[in-house]
Amino acid sequence: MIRGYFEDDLGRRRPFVKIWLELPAQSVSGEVDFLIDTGAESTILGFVDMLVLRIDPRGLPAGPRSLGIGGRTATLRADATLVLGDRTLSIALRILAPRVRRQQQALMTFPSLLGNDVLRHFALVIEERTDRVLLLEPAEADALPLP
Amino acid sequence: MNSLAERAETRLLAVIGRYAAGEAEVVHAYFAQEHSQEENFDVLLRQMGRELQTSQWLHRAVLMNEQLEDTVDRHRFVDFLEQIADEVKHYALLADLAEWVVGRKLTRAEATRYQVYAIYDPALPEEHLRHPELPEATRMVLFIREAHAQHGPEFAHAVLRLSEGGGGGAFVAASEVSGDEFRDRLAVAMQAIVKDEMGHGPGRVRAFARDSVTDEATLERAETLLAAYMLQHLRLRNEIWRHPLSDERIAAIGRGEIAPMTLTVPPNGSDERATPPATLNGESAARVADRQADHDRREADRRYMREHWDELLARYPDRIVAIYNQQVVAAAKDPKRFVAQLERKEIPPGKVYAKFLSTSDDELIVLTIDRG
Repeated sequence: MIRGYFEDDLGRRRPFVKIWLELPAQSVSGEVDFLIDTGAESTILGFVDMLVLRIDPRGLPAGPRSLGIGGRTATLRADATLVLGDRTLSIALRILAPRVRRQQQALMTFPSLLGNDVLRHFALVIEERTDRVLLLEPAEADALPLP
Repeated sequence: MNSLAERAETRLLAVIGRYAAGEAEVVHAYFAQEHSQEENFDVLLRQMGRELQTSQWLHRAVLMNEQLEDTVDRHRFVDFLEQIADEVKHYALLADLAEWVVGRKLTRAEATRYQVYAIYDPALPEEHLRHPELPEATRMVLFIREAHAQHGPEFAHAVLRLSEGGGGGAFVAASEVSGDEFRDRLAVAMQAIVKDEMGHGPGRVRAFARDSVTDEATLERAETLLAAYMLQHLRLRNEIWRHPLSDERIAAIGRGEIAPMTLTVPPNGSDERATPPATLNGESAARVADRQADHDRREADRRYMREHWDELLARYPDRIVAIYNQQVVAAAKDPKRFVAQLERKEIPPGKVYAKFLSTSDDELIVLTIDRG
């Protein structure tokens, strides 16, 4: 079971989970707070987190463009390892790569997103009432008395 | 003049020899006094709790089995299982003796009363790292945690492994007691434990001196850390044996006022028995501890930002703000300037907690779809 948390942001409570991220090709690693986003097809590293990890975008291939409310943004692609508790997942991480200053400014508030490429490995429990943000392993989910 | 490696080996073995003698003195002091069977029983329960700690690694063994030949090396798996088996065997020897002392079967509550987790494992819940009845054992875990943070997990872990079993002095001393039936039975049990335990720590010294001691400063650091660790281990051993040595005597041993014990070192000078992997991916415990240290610091920094949100927002509106060790270390509107500030302060990549402090209350809707 991976335990996340609710982050209060201007009265809004959003579910996050902390994940250790490694990009072997860039010898970069660090903990990142990911917003759990079942609407995201892929896990995406936000712009501020890219700066914090000091990822050099010049060495990375282009990824698919990302489409959301507000428009399209270019992304980069990097092979990454995510460590969640005892589990390690290898994914093709998308990294937001806004090119123009205005787009960079707009994406500063945009957090890193934990998308369905990772979430599909877990059962998700998000309940504000009890302050629970849980990613359950399949065996843990199977043990629940659910219909 | 001796080489650096030879001097390092001599000095580190001298530290282990001094504290091994101290641990032997704890046992001698205990048996210098008469004790009731209740007191003997209590000492056995305390030592059993120490030996039983590896049973908490079993869940990892099950998971390692699931990844055998995939991410888990078979020989590492064997070493790991053997280490668990050794320690549980020691527990069983002492538990058998404890049952003889009280003349009945032990309850689970008795058998596990003093169970502790002897190494710092960030993967375990906080409550497993503390024991209300064993303050010195708890301090030892905290000491290890601080040593990892201060010296780096790799170095701290390597140094602390040199002192496994506190040099073995207590086991040797207990294996030599005699005079009544309890002592004779204890000696037999301890002889079996000595056979398994002796040489593990000292056996690693030569390789450590050769591979890890690169200069005088490193030797100084290793010697100081080893001595501090073994001093705390001596206090812990004193706690197991119901405090037969005074604080003053322990301090005197720390100052070297004791004849060192002659150590048993394996003929090849090395002991490569595996340490418990802290994760299932073949990672070292040190790496995991490193991650945990990062996590703890970032979490404190996140809390700091949350608790000081209003004043930070007023001071750094619409800027990216980075917190490190609960201090603002970078704040800028421009991404390049933000990174430059971090680099100027020599903060390694990925270590800060950072957020853009927005003055707008735009709603965030983050549906994203990849477009090829």
